[in-house]
Amino acid sequence: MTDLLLTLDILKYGIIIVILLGLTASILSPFVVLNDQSLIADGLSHVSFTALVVGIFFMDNPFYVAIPIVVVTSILIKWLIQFTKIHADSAIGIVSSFGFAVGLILIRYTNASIDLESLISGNLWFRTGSDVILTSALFVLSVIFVGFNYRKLISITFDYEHAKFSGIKADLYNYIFAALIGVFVVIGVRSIGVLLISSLLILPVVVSNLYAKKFTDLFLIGSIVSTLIIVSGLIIAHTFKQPAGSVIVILYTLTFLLLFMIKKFIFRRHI
Amino acid sequence: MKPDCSKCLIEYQDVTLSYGYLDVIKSASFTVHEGDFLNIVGPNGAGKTTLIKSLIHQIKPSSGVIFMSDFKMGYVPQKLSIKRHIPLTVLEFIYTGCDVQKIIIPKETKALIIFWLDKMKLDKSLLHEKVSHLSGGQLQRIYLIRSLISNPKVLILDEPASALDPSFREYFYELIKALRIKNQLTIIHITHDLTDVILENSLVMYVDQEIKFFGTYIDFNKFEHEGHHHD
Repeated sequence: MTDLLLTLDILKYGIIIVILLGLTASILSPFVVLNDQSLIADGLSHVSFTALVVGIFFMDNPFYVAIPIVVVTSILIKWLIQFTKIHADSAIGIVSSFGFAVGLILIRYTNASIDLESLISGNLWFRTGSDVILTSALFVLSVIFVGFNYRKLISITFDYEHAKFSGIKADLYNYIFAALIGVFVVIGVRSIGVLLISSLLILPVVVSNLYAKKFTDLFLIGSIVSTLIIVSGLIIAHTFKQPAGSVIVILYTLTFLLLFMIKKFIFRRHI
Repeated sequence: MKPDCSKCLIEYQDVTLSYGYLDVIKSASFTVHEGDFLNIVGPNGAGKTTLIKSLIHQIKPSSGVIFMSDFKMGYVPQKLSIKRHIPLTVLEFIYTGCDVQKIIIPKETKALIIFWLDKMKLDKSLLHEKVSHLSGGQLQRIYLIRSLISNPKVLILDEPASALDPSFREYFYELIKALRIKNQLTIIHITHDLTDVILENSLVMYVDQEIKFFGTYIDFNKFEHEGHHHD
């Protein structure tokens, strides 16, 4: 018992962070994934890699450097989509490859102390109290932003032209949203890694969309499923001494497949 | 900028609309007054929808000036492009057309939306149906409701009846006519079929890259008989 409590105490920051990240993702993802920008987190995670390398270059806590870089890049992607009229996935592809390319060059000039593996797969157990505060702040900001602008964001996501027509400053909202996604990705990369963060953003809405009857269901189902998967993923990962991020993503994907099968074969619904 | 005369809502002065180097509408000048029912006709690719897009500020004129007074617009686009993977209900969709939008939809607004569904001969049970499950005709009607729910002063309809069956089409135009009188609605209407509309007191604009005709329906008949198609 004391052993378990001791482990929990060591792991508590990581656990809180990843649950908060899951909840934040459930709130943000409907507006991103359903707006055909599923891969934005993937793109930004590559940029985060570079940004964190640059950050480590200058100071101990690379967040202070990385967050502004990624936020600006996220806004830049939106700007590229809007002004050059290139497709969202192309814009994301360009920016993320560029970001990664720069990072790979920069990393040669930093001292060898950078743990490349922990950057790529993240490290949940080394997180501190200040990381928790940062993640909580992001969660609260996301709730406030989505809460106050809920109907506007629906309008923008579903029918951008109509949103603009009805006087919503659609582009401004898109930029603010991009900034939130940027912060989410940097924090996420530190905790669950460059390669896994994108699924944390995509899967809640993909899973909840299987059963959602209305827009609000996306948040409800997304948050519940996310939290359940993250908690059980952490327990499994700890028990079998596997990387937490990987276990969570595998569990999430399996859950999606299972719920899809249930819908298709048990409820016999059209997909 | 606002137009000069008090009854004028919209005034185009020598407006040219272009995509890149291609002028779609050349030096258009016309005025829309309060209470007008303006039908815009013309062949495919004549620039009718482009003209509408300039009205709703989606494109800016490459030359010329558009004067508009301050009024609320309702708009039903020609292409009803919906994102099928978004689980939006009819209620949530129509609510995006309301002036004030809260997180929780108030009862009165819900009642108003049901009233409109009924008026458009749609079943009340559709309220919680996903928009992606609707047929073309149902979709067109809920777009119409969305454009009307906030009581606009000007209603812009781009081929609003294309997916409606003939009997409902007739009913729909009667409805629009009644609304025009009741709310002093100004209507700008793109159509291919002028027989659809009750044409007394309505105006016709014939567009083919430029405004070839602008006047009353009676004058338009004369214009048509003069054989403008063959010039």
